[in-house]
Amino acid sequence: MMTALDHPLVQDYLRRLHEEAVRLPVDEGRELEAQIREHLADALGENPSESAVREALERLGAPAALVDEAGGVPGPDAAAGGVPVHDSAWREVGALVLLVGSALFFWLWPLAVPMWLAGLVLLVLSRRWSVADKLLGALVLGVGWLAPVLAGLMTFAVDAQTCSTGTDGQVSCTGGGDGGLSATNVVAIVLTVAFAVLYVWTLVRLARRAARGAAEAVAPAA
Amino acid sequence: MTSPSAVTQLRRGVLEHCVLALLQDDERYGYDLVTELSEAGLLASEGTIYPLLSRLRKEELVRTSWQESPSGPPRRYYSLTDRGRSALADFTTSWTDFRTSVDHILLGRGTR
Repeated sequence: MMTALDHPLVQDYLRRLHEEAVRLPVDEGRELEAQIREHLADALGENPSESAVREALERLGAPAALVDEAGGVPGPDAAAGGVPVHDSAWREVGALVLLVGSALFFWLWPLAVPMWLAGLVLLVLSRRWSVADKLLGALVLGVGWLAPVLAGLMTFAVDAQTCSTGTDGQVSCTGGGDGGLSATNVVAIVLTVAFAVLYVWTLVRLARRAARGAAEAVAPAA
Repeated sequence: MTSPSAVTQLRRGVLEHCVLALLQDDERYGYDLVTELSEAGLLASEGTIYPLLSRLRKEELVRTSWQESPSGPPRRYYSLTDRGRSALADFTTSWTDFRTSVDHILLGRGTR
């Protein structure tokens, strides 16, 4: 049993549509692809004949024409006569490298601050990320280099407090000192771990979005 | 002979409101709309309707809802919004005037 969408010709058509859809904002590209999948499922039913598939795809029109119709930017590829541009992900790669770099080198602020600013600029200029992606990137990766620092300071501050109160000999400080980890320490650690997870997740998500475009910029020569 | 580009342009100009007109009584799914428009000779290639539907949705002339389909993934159904309804009413008036004027010139000359 084969549904229409499993047919090799349909698969090939959908693949080409997916490649062309890079020229659209991410949300619009996805919507178009979903609409076309629904259309083909309705038009072909189950176990369609090869000729029925060919006819349905012909009637649908070429993937590039659909994306043009949807207002897809012609892009440097089309202007250059269909030659794919390989370095078109430089903004995305740059943004990720600079933002992560600025987080790693937060202790060396003369380096970290310019990296951070340049990373944010590239993030905003990206053509492969949607507005939501950019917002997520700015919040998580952009603020990211501050969060570990703040969390670290928070842990430190608590330690310092226990020490100083210890030397003062005040009774009120003993609760924090005896229990090993105070509630604040635990909260700080949990927050740090949660943030680290969020950070990695965001990084993977943005990298995959950027790579999706990059793979396709190389592919359509076929 | 009619120049193909003239027909293409006319088709392009009226397609949007023909879609709205097809939705005025019932909500419909994409393939259903395509079939009817295609039979009426209003679609050069069937896929072009989908970017148009997305645009109409963005302009809030139509809205979408999801319903299960027996043949595959859930289908999105399109229906007219109030705004779509009034855009359709405006176009219907303009079209009637337009058609009368064009008929007057095209046919009026012939009889003179």
